[in-house]
Amino acid sequence: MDSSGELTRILDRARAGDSRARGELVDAIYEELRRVAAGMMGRERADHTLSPTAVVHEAVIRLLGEEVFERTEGRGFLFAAAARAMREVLIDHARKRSAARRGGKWRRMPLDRVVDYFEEQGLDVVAVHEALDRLAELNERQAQVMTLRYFGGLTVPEVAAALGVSVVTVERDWRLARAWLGPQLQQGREA
Amino acid sequence: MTPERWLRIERLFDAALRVAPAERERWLRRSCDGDDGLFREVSRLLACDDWAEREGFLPPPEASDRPGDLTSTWPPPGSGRRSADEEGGASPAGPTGGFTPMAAIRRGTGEEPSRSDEHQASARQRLLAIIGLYIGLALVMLAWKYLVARDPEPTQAIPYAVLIATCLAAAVLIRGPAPIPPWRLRLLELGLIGMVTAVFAFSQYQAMLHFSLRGDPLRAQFAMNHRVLIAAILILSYGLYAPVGWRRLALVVAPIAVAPFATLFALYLRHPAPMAWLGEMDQDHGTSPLALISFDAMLLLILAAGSASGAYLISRLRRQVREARQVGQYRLRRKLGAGGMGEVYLAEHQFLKRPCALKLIKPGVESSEKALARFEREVRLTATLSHPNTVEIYDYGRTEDGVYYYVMEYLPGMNLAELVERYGVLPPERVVHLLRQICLALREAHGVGLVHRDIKPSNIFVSQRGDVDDVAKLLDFGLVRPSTPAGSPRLSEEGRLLGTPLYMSPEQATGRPDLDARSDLYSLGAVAYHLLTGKPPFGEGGTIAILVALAHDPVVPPSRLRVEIPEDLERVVLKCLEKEPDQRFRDAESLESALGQCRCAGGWGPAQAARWWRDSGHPVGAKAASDAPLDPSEAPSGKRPPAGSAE
Repeated sequence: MDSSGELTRILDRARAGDSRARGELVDAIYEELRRVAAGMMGRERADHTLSPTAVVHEAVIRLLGEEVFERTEGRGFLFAAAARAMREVLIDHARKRSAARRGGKWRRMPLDRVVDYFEEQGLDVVAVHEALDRLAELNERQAQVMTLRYFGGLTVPEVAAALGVSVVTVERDWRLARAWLGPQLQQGREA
Repeated sequence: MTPERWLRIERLFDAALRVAPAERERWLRRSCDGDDGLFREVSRLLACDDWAEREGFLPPPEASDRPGDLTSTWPPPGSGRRSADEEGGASPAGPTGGFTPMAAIRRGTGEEPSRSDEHQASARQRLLAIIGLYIGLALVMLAWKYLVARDPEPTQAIPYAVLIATCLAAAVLIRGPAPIPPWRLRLLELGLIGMVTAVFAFSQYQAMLHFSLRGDPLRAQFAMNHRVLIAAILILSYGLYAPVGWRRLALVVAPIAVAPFATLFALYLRHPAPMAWLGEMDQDHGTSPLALISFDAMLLLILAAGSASGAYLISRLRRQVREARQVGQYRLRRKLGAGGMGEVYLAEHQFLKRPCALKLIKPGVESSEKALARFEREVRLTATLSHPNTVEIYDYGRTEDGVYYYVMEYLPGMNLAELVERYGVLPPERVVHLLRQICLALREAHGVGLVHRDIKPSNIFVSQRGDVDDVAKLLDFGLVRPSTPAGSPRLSEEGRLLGTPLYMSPEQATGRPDLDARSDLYSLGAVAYHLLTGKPPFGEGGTIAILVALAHDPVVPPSRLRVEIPEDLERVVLKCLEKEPDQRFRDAESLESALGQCRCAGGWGPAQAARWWRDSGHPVGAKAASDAPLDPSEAPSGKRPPAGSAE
């Protein structure tokens, strides 16, 4: 597929200030993430331990291709969009899962790990998602850090590399965002 | 709230975290300058941070298991996918597992040799042993009743069956993968013991009543004696398996000891008629019940005391074992890291109380004579060097059980690999400042004929020594070999390629035997390249690809990756990275003076270093900040220049 060429074009438009391009970017990445996740599910079951990081990495790499990566200025932008798309995918996934669970049949897939994580913490994924949206209004990068870290499964150095900031910045963002999220999520905390 | 206000909150939050907790409120109030809303908002966030820290809110998600790779940058510029070291994890040691444990010397982030984990494991084991004993006891009792004595009430098996089932369930719970909090383990332990005591008391009651009703006081007496013996077993086993403090032991053991008599007493009160034989003993048999019972009581008392002292003894031994994490005259504090063949601990001299880094080589880990020889050589060679920018070796020895160790200075700070990973690329003037110090350390080593052979960012430590910030220390002479041409150059005795290839000189990569000091200069140039650009000169592909690129490919000038790199510094770095040793600098000294002539050379001094450490948020710097006056933006001054640097 020539998604990377098209993506480059969308990216250029987005950088030029086209606000609609931004939405398209999220959509494109969203689609690709879902495709990768679905592809992973269809593969050999031996793959079932694949981590969400693997999903995200694979999607981003396949989607962005090498030449997009070379263009460092576009990268932060792309990852911002990817972070957002990633969250969409997972929220979508979590919703389907809770519906399927009531129905009784559910095939586990890599993305379940992320949803499991929040469930183990007694947190509602959707509530986290919404809180991060609110945080993005205050500081978008902080929301991205949290998204990449918790929804994308990236490590701190990876987040730093993805967003093109230093590890310390990521750590600071994380700490502030965590403190901020505490009360935001308290009412949504189940157990 | 507007993003601008949020930015203010963010800055205050960040700065407040670096102020000592006790001073925080005062500092914050001053900084908010009368803006009450701001003060409240930041205070609330700080309280939440405190809460999140305590409660473990949003802990880092499990690191997914991805294969390690050479570098720790993501995403990849080209090839496939690549992964980072686990976050905050081990220093980026080469894929070949070079002998680089000292690289792990760093502050704060090293893991504790997890005493609590060990403690947990042994508590679980003890509990399992007790459970096994109880199950065995119950099975033997059942077998005895039904196979040997052959006359029990069928209902007498019920309590034992319940006991066995409960014990098995507890065993399954304990063996399960989920961690059990200590208090719950303790509760489980007490519950089990209480249950065992109750079961035996109940069966004693039943049996004695049964025999008394059958008019068989002799068997009833036997039952009582058996019961006392079982209490004895319980007391002893608890004392052996649960080496707790004597108070808790007494609390547990006393009810076990009292139970047989209490049961007898209860039986006598509730069924005076069938138990009348007890009172009649005196006349008929010439033994008083007092004599009988007091002997049993005495027996149990002695056992309880014995058990208590046994428990005390065992817990003391246990403590001694723990304290035996002492090596020679050094007491080990916590693990700082582990490398190819050794572990590094933060240690303290018994008398001097000076913190130091102790490197252990366990005979179990690498016992080959050659490995030990390498270890010894490393120590001796490093110890011959005395330049302040070379890590200082304090001591060296071998414990009675054959563990080799050596002790070096403990360096608070971090290595250059971590520095770049955490804080990004360095300003050129700082690179010059650090490299010049390493040049001086190398000059001494080269002067006595030693080639380091493994210079890389993780082997250079940036530290605060005394009152001086940004002291560079060259570590790990693990691969040092006398530079006289002898022996195979790149394969260690074990036949592996030692060290990471990322900073190797071309002659090292191609295995030329005549390595000399200029090989180190190449590596130092590669380190400089990494510090300036954030990546080594050749880092693409696997080990083989790197080795090939090292030998053949031209270096991409650093300024191509980062425009602000001054031209004169770039020339120096590129000259270090020449493929032909002859085209590099003659020796470390001339490299040092070339660096000194760079225009940016004087740009990084004590003041900049001090400010950096304070602002870095690094534990070392942060500590300094919290010791400092209230305002974290106030710079202390008047520091001496770092040792080894000329200006």
